[in-house]
Amino acid sequence: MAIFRTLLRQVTFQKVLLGTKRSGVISLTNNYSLFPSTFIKGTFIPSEQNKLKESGELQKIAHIPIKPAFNDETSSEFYDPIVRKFTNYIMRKGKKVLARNLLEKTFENVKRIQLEKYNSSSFEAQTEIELNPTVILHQALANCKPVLELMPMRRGGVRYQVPVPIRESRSAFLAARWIIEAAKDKERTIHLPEKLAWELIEASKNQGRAVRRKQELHKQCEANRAYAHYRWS
Amino acid sequence: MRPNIQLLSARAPQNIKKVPFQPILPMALRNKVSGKYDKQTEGGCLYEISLLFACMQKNAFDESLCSHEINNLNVCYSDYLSKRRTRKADQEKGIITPGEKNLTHLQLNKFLKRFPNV
Repeated sequence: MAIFRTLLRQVTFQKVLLGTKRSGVISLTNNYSLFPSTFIKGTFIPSEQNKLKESGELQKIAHIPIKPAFNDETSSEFYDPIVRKFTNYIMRKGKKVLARNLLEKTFENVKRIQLEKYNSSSFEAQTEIELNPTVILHQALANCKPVLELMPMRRGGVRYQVPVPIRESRSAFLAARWIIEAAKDKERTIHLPEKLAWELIEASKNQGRAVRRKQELHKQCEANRAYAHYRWS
Repeated sequence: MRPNIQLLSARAPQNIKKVPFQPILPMALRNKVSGKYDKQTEGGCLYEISLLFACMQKNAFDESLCSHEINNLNVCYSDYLSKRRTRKADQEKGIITPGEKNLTHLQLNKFLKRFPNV
C-alpha cells in the first residue's frame, strides 16, 4: 500500500512538472502588441526630439525600429497629455469624435461661465478667476486624486476592507472617473457638457461631488486603519 | 518475600512486536521546501500610512496640509514596488551567488533538485 502511494505521488509530481512547462510556453505568448519587443517607443514632442538631437542619443537609436505615434498624439502647441487621456475616459463604445466634441463643448461652457464671473466681478477679484479651461481641468483632477484605496482581502474566512496606497496612474484614473460619474448623474434634459463644466469648476475649487467622494474614501480608509497591516503580511 | 512496590506501580513496557511500525510515507525528507514563510521578511509602508492617518485626523481630512506625509508614502510605495520587481526578476533568472547564506525557496528548490536527498 505504501509503495502504491509513493508511486502515485511521483506520477502526480511529474504531471505538475509537465503543467509548469506548458504554462511557461503560454506566458511567453501573452504579448498582444502589434510590434515586437525590439521596437522602442519614440517621442513626437518637438522639444524632446531636440533634446535627443543635442545629446547625441539620436545617433544611437537611428537604426532601431520605432513604434509609431498614436493618431491623437500631435506636435501641436495645444496638445496636452491630460486632456487626451480625459477624452479617452469620456469615450464610450469607441466614439472618439463624439468624446472630443463633448470635451470641446465642455471647455467652451467652462470659458463662458468663468468669463461671465470675470466680467461681473470687481477689478481686485478678477485676478483670482482662472479663465483657461485646461488649467481648470488640471486643477480639478489634482483635487480629486485619492491617496489610498480600500481593497477587499480574505483573512480567516472574513473579508476585510484594507486601506492600501495606490500608484499615480490609478489615482489619476479614479479622479477622472469620479468627475465623469458625477457629471453623468443629471436630469435627462441637461446635456453632459453643461454638467461636466459645472463639475470641473466645482472640483477646481475643492468642492463638488467628486471631491466629496475622495474625502469619503479617505474617511473609510481611516476607519479601517486597524487592517492596514494585511497589505504587508 | 515482599514484592517491590516500585516495580508493581510502574507501567509494563509495551511489546514491540505487537504493533509493528509501518512507514506510510517514505522515510526521507522531501526534495522540496515550501515558500510559505518567505514573505514575512519584506518591508512595507505601514509606518508611513499611520503617519498619514494621524496627520489627516489632525487636519480634518484636508490633504493639502499633509503633502509631506503623502509624498513620503508615495516614495516608500514606489520604492517597495521597484524592489519587489527586481527581486522577482532575479529569482526568475535564477542567479545564485556562491557562498550565499540566505537563499529563497526557489533557489533552495533548484539546489535540492540538482542534489537530491535520496
